[in-house]
Amino acid sequence: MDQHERFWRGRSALAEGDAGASRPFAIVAAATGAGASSGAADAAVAPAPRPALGPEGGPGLAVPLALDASRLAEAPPKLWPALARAASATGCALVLSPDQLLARAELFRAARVATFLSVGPDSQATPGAARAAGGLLMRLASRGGAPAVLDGGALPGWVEACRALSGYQAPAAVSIPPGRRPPWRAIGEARAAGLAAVAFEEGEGAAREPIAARVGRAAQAASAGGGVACLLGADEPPDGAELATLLAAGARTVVTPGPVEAALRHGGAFEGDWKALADALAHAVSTVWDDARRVARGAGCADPRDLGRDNLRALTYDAAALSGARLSGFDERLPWWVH
Amino acid sequence: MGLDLRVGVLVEGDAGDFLAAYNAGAIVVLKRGKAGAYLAYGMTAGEVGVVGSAGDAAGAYASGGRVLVYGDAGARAGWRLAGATLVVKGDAGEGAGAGMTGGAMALLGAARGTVGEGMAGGVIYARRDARVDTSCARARDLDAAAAAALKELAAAVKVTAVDPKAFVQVVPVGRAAPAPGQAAEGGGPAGGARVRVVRPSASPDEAKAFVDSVVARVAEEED
Repeated sequence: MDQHERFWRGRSALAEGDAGASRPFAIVAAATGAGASSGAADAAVAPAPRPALGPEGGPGLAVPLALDASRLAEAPPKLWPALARAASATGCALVLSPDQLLARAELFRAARVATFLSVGPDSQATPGAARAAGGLLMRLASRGGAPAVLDGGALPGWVEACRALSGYQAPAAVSIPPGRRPPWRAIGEARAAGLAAVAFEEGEGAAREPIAARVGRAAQAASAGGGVACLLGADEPPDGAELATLLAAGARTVVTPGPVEAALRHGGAFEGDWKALADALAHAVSTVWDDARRVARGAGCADPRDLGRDNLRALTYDAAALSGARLSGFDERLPWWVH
Repeated sequence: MGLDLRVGVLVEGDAGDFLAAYNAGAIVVLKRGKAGAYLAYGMTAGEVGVVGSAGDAAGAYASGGRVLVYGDAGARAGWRLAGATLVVKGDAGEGAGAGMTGGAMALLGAARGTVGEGMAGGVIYARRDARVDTSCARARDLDAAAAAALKELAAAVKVTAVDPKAFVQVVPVGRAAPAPGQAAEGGGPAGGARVRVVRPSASPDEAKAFVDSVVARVAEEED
């Protein structure tokens, strides 16, 4: 059973108990007394929505997931109300291209779905779409490798232009594709222009970055980026433990196209019943979030978004070297020269 | 700025980077000043006129509309131009038309460096002495239709005396030259320049007349 299948069936990765052995990270309690104030009663209380970009703002999300539909070139018409219903029911966000957002702005507004607008070389923004979006996800390069700007020095101007496009209403996040060195200096300068966060994509094929590398990128954002908020990508639908790991690494929101692709792949079985499709997707997302909460509670945190790098332990030498996380057993970070 | 209203915007003085970026229908005229880099970046519709010089990467990723530069353009003019029309009356810097995928660009002055590097679509009208990236593009003499298209583009920047024999059209290897010219219109961050909306609710014909009137007024003032 692949990860799409597991996700779509809403099967808890923790209940099966078979995935832990291959995971590169574990979530542990930060201190002996962690969780003193949390108990069984807390488990029944759903965590309150929080801004998608942390203190920097953005739409409020009950589940820190952004379902990326912007890659879909064509989709069945019924998929869109299903996505809107599922996102609204679970409290996660949708990432949409300008065309997708403009064509269905009424639908997403009526469903009260938080939306991010994907802006990049292959999806030029328009004012109408930018003003309808809760946030801007500015892709520094297209899937084909075309850069959005000629050099990092233009990043502040690009951020300014995109924010102006939204009437300075939507916070902006710059998405860094795998294999591109983040222009940290320019990112620091762009913060004055309204850049709220930096996102790191997982990528696919030879360019795919393992989860340990993305955890390391998040650490860079905290240090080299001067504490800029961070979003992390996951191409496959993340399971609860992976989601908790990414949040512990410092991600405010996890951007993933996986659930949308799973809905597209399995949507045919519902024979046009978009409400049933939406409920199935919402159930799958809820299962992931419940698993993440179980993992977090095991580490003494009532909400996975309260996890931090102190809760993260690398289970392999490679993961510790790539991520800079403490190595389990050793309980220390590896010396800097092996990073 | 990303204006989607059909308005005219007059910018006086030097503008910063990304002037008229993501313009979706406005008419933007920069009068007596320089535009920064990435003029009309990602423009989808509208018209942008710069009565002065433009910085690097003018018209980058512009997929619609028209960009008119009455002075010189910096490096990589028309970088990844994707369907818009770009006319440079003066000289163009290095790397004009790099990565271009569509649209039309006319370089009426000299073009430094290589023209059409990595281009995959669109057409570039350049002087005969321009150096073309032969790995992906080739220069052809202008036929009657191309000569007419060039004259039309030149007329947009008030150049009426164009000798088609002095120009070539640069097209991607293995592709026919696409029909040049899309409709155009133009908005964006304007640095420290003074921005004034002078013409609300202009129709396309009115907008064209507005651009012409500003250009004529600037020419009179300079005389």
